Amino acid sequence: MNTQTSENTNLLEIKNLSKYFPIKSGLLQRVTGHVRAVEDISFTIPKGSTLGLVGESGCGKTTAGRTLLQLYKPTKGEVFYNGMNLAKLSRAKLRKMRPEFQMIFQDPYSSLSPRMPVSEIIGEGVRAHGIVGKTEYEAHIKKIMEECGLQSHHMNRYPHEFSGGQRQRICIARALALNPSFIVCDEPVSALDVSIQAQIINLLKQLQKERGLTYLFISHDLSVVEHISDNVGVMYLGSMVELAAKEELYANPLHPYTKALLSAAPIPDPKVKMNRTILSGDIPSPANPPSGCKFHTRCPQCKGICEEQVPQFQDTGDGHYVACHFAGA
Amino acid sequence: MSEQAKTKNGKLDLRAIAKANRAEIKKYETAKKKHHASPSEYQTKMRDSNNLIEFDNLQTYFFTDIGTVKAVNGVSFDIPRGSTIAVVGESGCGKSVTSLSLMRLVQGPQGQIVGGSIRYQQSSGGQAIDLTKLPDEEIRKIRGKEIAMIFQEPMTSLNPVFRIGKQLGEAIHIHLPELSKEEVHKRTVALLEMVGIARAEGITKSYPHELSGGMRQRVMIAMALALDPQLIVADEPTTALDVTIQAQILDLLRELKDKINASIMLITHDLGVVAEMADYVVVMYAGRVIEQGTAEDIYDRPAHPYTIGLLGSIPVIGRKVEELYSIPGNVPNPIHMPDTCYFKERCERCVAACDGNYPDVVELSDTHKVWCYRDFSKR
Repeated sequence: MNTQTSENTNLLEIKNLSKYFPIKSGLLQRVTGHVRAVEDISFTIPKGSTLGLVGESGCGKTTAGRTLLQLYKPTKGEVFYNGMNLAKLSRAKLRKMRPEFQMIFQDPYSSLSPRMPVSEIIGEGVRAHGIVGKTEYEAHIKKIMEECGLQSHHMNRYPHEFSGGQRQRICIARALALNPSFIVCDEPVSALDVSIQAQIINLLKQLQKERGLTYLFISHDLSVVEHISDNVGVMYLGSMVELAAKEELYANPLHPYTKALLSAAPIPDPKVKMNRTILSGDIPSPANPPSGCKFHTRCPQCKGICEEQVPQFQDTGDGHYVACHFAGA
Repeated sequence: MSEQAKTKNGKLDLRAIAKANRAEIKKYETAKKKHHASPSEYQTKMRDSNNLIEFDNLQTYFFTDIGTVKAVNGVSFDIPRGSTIAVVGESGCGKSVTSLSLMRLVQGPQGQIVGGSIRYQQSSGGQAIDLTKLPDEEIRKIRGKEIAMIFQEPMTSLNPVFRIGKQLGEAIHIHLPELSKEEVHKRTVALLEMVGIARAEGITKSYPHELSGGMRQRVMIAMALALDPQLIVADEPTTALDVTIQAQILDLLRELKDKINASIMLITHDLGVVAEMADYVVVMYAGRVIEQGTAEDIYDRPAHPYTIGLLGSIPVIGRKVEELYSIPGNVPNPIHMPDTCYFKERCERCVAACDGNYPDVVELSDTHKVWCYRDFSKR
């Protein structure tokens, strides 16, 4: 993407971000290797837009989300937020910045403390960061709860008294209470039922419109990502393999992995019996990724060059980035 | 137990409910123990000889200390031979309990099949039998052999301390005790090869944690197919898997179904998977079937407001909508179900008749049935 430092329109700019986790073994717990969870990814997110990040489990999409929020210290690379390099900030300064970027987690059943009433779950961060004064505190919580479709008189209830969809609303309220401008949504709807899923997606879209929020939306569900995103990035084994505007990516996928993903997604219409490209095999281990193009072990179009050379992640025109030797052809 | 007795000073008397329900459980449990059924008690006749399974007004209740949950409340549908039938619905709608009732694996003593029947046509011109009345020793001969099940979570359904070969061989050994160890092993390897596992010989010596999610689900499928079942019950077989692996598994299931000429009862909430796999679709809501028909009936001409809502609420690749339709409200509390249509509270297409009793079936065509009061004549 853009190699110059932040233009004003980009809220977030990620450059060559990598995160390796050490593998320790033996009696002395020596580092014997690295799991390359995220390797050299770059992208930008314009203000007020949504970037969807798709990929299979273990492809590093969650790690990417956490690393760019500095929940993990990045091994390499830079994260510019409003022109500020988060990777270089001191802990105290980073802590001051925290309310700006929030996260919504996947499983609303395990991400809420069962011993805290809802008002406390939502309000803890508000107090810690002094978002509003003591006098407005309760009103602020109530306002946020109603904005997220919760009834404000439920504020003294505990999480177990709520259904899955309502719990996810609590998680969203917790993030919103700090008045963030950027939210990482890590699979926020995959644990929910279909009809509830629609409610939560609509809520997220509506909040974005009202508050001008910027989202990084991590999901494995291509149809959900298409619905909510403006731009979509596809990850495979820690690397970004394709990145483009939503319409472009779904209409004209260039990377064979993206093509396979799109063709594997089931379509709710019995008349559509597609000729699918079904990928054989499983994802290789990120501790020992294949040489050259990481996808070559499963790629239907693999040729000699793929095993030796790592393809460049480059623009094929109109901001459609792809990492494949044969993307142009 | 009457409704008045359950309330004291206008509040629910939980102790009375708990006591009544425990008595109820005891009644069913003692009835089960006494059962020395002669074949005439469970032998029956199929309504249609083409059907493999006929659910007829099945009722499975859970007697809990805070009230009775009618998890399956009068479910009737057929599984024709050689076809795939999908049961769709949100969590808690009773789709899993329906399949567990079929396998007679409902969690006792709270869960009891209290009424209705499940007729099953045995293979090779055998008698039709009622699975709900079958004594335990008899159902054991059928379960796992003629009717097999694939569970949702492959990690938790495989035993972590036994090797794959042993777990697979166990079922074969139990149902076919005359086979020698070598023969069982040979069959195990052949099964693993059939589900597309390379290096099958080596895999028999692996433990479940050494395999990926897709491989584990293949092992589960191999286990289900071990004895050439007539019916495979697949309870959310791909929910825990990635899309590319899901495509592999669905492809495999379809291929194997034709190979051994079995029927599949697919339980899922994923309408995309249903469209791809199913010949017939049964939509359940709050323990009842609300609509059933062929896949084309359900997807092209959905009639029940709930089905319409469900289909509208999923994002579809290539279909642009500004906002997804969302069904308002939540599933009603399963303990206090209303006497009216269960969907009434959430329905946006109510008519005057909806205030009355639970609606009767409306047959829109030979295959398409719906339980709703709306006027379908104009469609």
